[in-house]
Amino acid sequence: MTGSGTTRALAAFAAERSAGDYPGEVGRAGRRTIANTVALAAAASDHPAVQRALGVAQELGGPGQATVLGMSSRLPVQWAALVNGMAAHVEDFDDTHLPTVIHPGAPIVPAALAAAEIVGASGSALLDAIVLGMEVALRVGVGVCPGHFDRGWHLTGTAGHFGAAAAAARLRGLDAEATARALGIAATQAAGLQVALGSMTKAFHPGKAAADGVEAAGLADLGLTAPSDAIEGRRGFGEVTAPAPDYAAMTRDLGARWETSRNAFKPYACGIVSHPALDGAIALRAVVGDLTRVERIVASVHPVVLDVMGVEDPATGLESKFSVYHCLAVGLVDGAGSLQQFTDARATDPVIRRLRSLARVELDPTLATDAAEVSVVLADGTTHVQHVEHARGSEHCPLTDDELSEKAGRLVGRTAGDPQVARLMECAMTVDALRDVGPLLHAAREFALSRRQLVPS
Amino acid sequence: VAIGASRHPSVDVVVAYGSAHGGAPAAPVPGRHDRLDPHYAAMVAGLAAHIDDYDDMHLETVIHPSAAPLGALVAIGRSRGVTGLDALKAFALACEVELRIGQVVSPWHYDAGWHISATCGVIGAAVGAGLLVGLDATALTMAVGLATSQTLGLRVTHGTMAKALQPGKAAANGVLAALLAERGFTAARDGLGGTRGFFDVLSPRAEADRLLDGIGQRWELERNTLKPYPGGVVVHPFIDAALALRGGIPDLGDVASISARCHPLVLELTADPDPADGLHARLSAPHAVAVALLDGAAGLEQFGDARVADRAVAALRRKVALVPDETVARDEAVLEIELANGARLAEHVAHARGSIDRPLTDADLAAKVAALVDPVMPGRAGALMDAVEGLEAAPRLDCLLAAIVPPRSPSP
Repeated sequence: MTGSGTTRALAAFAAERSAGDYPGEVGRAGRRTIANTVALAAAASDHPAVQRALGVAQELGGPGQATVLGMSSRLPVQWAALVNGMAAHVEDFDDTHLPTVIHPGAPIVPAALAAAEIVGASGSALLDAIVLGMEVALRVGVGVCPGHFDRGWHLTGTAGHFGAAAAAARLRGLDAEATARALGIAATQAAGLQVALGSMTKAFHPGKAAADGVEAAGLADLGLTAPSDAIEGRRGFGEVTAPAPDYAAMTRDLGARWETSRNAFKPYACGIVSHPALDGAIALRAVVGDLTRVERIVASVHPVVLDVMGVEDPATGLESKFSVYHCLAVGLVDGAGSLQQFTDARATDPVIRRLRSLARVELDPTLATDAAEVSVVLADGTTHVQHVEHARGSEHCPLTDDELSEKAGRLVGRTAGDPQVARLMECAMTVDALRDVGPLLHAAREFALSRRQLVPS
Repeated sequence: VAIGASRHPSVDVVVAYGSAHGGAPAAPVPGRHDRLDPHYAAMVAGLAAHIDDYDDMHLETVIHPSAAPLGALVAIGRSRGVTGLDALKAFALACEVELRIGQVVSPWHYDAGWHISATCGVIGAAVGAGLLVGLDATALTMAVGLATSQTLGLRVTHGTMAKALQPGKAAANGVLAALLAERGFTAARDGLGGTRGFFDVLSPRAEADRLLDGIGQRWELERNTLKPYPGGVVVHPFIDAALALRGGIPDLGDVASISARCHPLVLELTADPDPADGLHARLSAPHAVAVALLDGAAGLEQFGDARVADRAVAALRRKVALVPDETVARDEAVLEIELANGARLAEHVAHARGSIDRPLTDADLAAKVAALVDPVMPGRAGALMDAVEGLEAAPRLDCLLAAIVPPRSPSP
């Protein structure tokens, strides 16, 4: 049968790969993913969506097994994973594997952290689990894309389930057979619809993936039976959720070629597919000058942009993260795309709204998803054009470690040099030297406490 | 049914997980002394209601409607202090919503590989839980949206414990959706019918008009049927036929061959001549026929691992040949048995016992309940039936929820 053994192969990879057996660039991608994810989750711990989920978790109660990032609260493993996974994604400012548009950090890092706390794992075991979990999620994603995405699934939720389960299973020490069952339990719960974009439920997707993944590993460990071919089997995840799944792509050169090293980090706090358009608008800001003279803005982009970023006149900060029109406007007005550009106040600002109404989008399937061309036409007919070949933060134009530290600092209104920011980044970037994850969690708490009132830039 | 399954190893697993990682034990576990938090209580009750494949069935959609809403009811019915009537209403509306969503996407959604009792069950459970916690229409819409983002249930799991985990998890996810919505969590405004929503993504086709057609006047829940035997209902007419023919065969050693004519789809689903265990046997027509002929019964014992592994049962299973026949309806079967001396016996079952055309009587149901409850909680079946009978008049759910668990101090 096509794809026979795919689930078992991914399970064996996650369970049996020797500790630290991956190239340096893959380990670096894992550390950067941890740094970015933990900083985002800690900084967003007071977000209303996160607080509401935390409220439900506290209402349900239970043993304090794992830490809520940035806070002193502790929760049962699956609920810590839920809350942290949501917090990491709620600002839409996390990481992206562009070929699949999966944000692997949000479902996988929280699942691994929660599992690591309950078993007392070392920092290097945590890094192994995160790297392997990311690779599993991204491989599953590559195999079902693009059809799975086009059908309307939110891959961070669906593929995230596999990565979270694989990482948690690795930390629990499950063998390949039990890991295959954990993947089966996760597969049947892989969920998340694109209809939820623009609501709190979008961030719930990676949170739920993290929680279900942690729980799946626990249930598998206790002996719950599940199919060992849940991905490729008849009426399995591949066949049911994608029109033309490519199982070979899930396992080809597994362990020799890594999708994990292609994970990229967002410089802007909005949907990634509009980042090249935002780059173009920021670049044009200086040459355009007086914005009252703008008559028309035209962005040529890949068609996927309007699939997820098509909100024309967003009413809230959250909705504005899914508006390429808003991105073009704040790029021209603020020359930035950080959290401050996607607030309720910015979404309803009259100057921004006027510019948004002047913006038009042209779909060009020949453009890559990290490319765009932005034109601004002035009242006197002058046209300024900016072509963006690779968006900032994309695979071909990655953020440096210093830029990643600066990004983290901005989340709490500080700079990369502030001690709480530097300490968190150092902990994450040297995570494999930690005896346990305690110092990383402590640094995340200090980082969140250092938050200053955010001011518009 | 949930009480009858309360000793199943899969129930042990989820109870163990919920005890280790769950919160305050606020809700009961049917048939057990354990108590769990609402999330894990919902999961266990939904799982236990389905693991034996002995629950209920709405034939048009092949949904087993009650497992997921029951989980929500057991989980949060008591803590919110609702009346029996409100609980009954929440349960009925939950099932109705679940079945109507199923009708919109049937048969395409199930045929595509989804375990429809879980995918639609999570939405039913969210509605049931939402009504129990008292959500208004706006918040209930959010709960439904949250449920559409937690759909689950791949049919690849059939034959494993993960299959029954699905309605269990559907119940738990529905409870989570309701609790989040109660706190103002936002979700898609049209999680079902919106672009890239449930109907769009989870089904190749959808007839959205069916959702509200005659709602409040015509009740799909009235078309729910209760199973007289465990296992897939498509196997049930074979059991009826085998039980009817059994009296005419003094010595089963004389059986030369058995031919079972059925709809081609039934054949595809139930042809397994050598099921690996009790779970697989529930969808094996050869096993059902063999065990009904040998034992003259078709209860939980007949679909247990021991009977599945029995040599005499296995030998008789191998004599059963399924024959596809387009002219035979899905709930119909023709069983022909040829004896060694050439004699032939035949039985035609137009509608299986327990189907909508031959529903279980109240007395049949009471007997089913007693058979399930007595081995777990001796002598408690009557109290359970009384509590259900008295539900509409009950000021609270305490009476019903006390009746689903063993008495506080277990008898020595």
